[in-house]
Amino acid sequence: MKAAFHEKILAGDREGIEALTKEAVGKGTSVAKIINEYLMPAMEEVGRQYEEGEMFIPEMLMAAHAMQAGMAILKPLIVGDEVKTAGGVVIGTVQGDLHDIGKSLVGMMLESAGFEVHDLGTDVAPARFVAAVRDEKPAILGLSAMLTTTMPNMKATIDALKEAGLREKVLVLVGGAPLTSEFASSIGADGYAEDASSAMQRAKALARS
Amino acid sequence: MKPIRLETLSGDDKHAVHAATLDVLSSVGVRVYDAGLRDLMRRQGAAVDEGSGDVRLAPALVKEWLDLAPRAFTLANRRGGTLPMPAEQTYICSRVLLPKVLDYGASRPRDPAIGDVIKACQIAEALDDVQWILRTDAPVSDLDATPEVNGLLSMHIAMTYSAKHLLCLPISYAAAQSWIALAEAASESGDLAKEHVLTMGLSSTAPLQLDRESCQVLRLAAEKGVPVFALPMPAGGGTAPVTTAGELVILNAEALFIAVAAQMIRPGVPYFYGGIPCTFDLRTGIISMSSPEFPLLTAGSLEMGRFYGLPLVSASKYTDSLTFDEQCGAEKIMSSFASLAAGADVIYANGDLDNALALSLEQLIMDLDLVLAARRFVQGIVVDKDHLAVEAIRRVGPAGHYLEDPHTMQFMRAGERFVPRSYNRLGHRSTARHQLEKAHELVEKIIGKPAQPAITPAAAARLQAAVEARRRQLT
Repeated sequence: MKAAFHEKILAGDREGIEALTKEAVGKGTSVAKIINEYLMPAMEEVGRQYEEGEMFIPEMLMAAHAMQAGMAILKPLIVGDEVKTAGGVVIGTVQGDLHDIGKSLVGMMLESAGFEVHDLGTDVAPARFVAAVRDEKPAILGLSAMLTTTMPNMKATIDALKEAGLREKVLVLVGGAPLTSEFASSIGADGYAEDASSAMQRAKALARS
Repeated sequence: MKPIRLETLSGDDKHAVHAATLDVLSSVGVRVYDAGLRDLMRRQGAAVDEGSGDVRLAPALVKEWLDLAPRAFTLANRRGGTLPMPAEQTYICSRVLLPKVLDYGASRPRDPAIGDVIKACQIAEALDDVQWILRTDAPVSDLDATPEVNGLLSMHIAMTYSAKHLLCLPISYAAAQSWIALAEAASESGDLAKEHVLTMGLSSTAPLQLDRESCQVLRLAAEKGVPVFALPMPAGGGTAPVTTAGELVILNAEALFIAVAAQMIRPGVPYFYGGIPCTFDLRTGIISMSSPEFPLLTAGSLEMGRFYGLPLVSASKYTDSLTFDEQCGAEKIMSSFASLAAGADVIYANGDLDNALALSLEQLIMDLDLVLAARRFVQGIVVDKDHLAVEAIRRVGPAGHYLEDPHTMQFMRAGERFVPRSYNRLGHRSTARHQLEKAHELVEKIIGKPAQPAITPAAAARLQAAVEARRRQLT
């Protein structure tokens, strides 16, 4: 069964994963086992192939969607803390910026790595980020900007967190095409990710810290 | 003279792209995030879905309003000079600010300071081949002010130290208001609809979106009669179809939508067709403005702009390279040649490195040489009696030379020869320098002189007053 999950995840076969997940549940396989031994290792292989340049982003996205399809079946069956999440993450593209792809890609990668992701979408005002941090209490806040013109709104968001007394309660990870690690440091972010894959790695590292 | 023209699209191809664009505009539309612009377009006949904000344009409506966009108009600099459009010879636009600066000899870029804007303006002013300047809105590091005031003060510097035609890409509606206020003060008449000293660019967000600030900027510019420059930035594979033709349809749809919207706001407002057709690298997720597809798509989009008879502004000389290397040169020559050979009226992005994030003064000089060389090539071969020069050939006869012949005197400075500023043509002679070194020497020579305002004292006084008034509004 592990090999079948592996094959379907790598092929991005949502229907196949749904069928396999139902079959595994029907056979009495525990939810924890399906997630930890079947789905997650397959996604780790997806991550490896992407890192090596063997897998392209659309293929990785399809694999992540297949993983989500399996998780949608499993989530209602999770009992207690049988399955631990890697942590909560709130993500969004900052105010004035409608670019969605990079941010969504990061969200997918984080979900696949076991994070619980709350995606606020695009053109998110600092106040909405503050409210989400207050309400969701995530370990990490991920801010995305695609334009040099909207990068200043990352600082505005961090400043708004400080003003609300929430800055010390959340780790801020920033990313986007025009950003640099120097810029991330200059605005007081805790981490900078140059792409979706490194965002996942940085989030894992930050969550452990 | 027959200029060399690149034809990436056949006549049938252009009609097919146009038909697909009209299909997209009428069936999918563009999502407009500003209720005011939606309302205005609805009143002019657009189909508006208030739930989604999508605005759809019927083919006849596109034609009706696109016909109102002027195919010819005249821009101005602030010295009384005029720049007719379409251009007889492609105008060259030089950058004066980007988010970073790469200094000569430095390995990493740094934040720009106000002095960098002055230096870039000095270079633009010193070079007669540059007719436009472009100031992207980016903060300068040595002005302790709010972002809005920071932008205002560096706009003031750009408009003081260069009087060339100004292309701006406002960061926000507030920035656009500042640009307009300063340009009105800096012009002689105060009427930007009559005296086109400023062109305002705005981006759509692919696929098929106009964000609220861009809508507001568009409305402000068009209402004032300021020439509008549309900058769709689709990224094939990500925010546009992965196929080149499909990306072209998205770019064309966004460009035509902005053209129609501009005409609905103010019929007859000058409009430049343009765009930055990026590629979304499906392996890394990086968005490139310098892939081989960029010049191909640039040429294709400019051909579509010509198909509509609209004046064309083209980004070229982008590079993904961080520094002055072979990749930088290769990417810049491809995009420059494509833009020029596709008939751009204006090309910009002189001085860019690092995917339009870093400006180099030396690169400003080297890019100018590159684009002038490409422009010379594209001008083609003039074949007429004077240029065939049979009389001169008779005069000199066998075994003579042409150095002092009247024909040489007549034509050697008349556009037949490209004279580089930075290229090394001295081989291994002791005076020879590498291109970068020569460019640096020229930069030092230009900026070594004290910077002088490029405008009259009266214009400077009006500008100063406008800056103070606008500053009070912003604080």
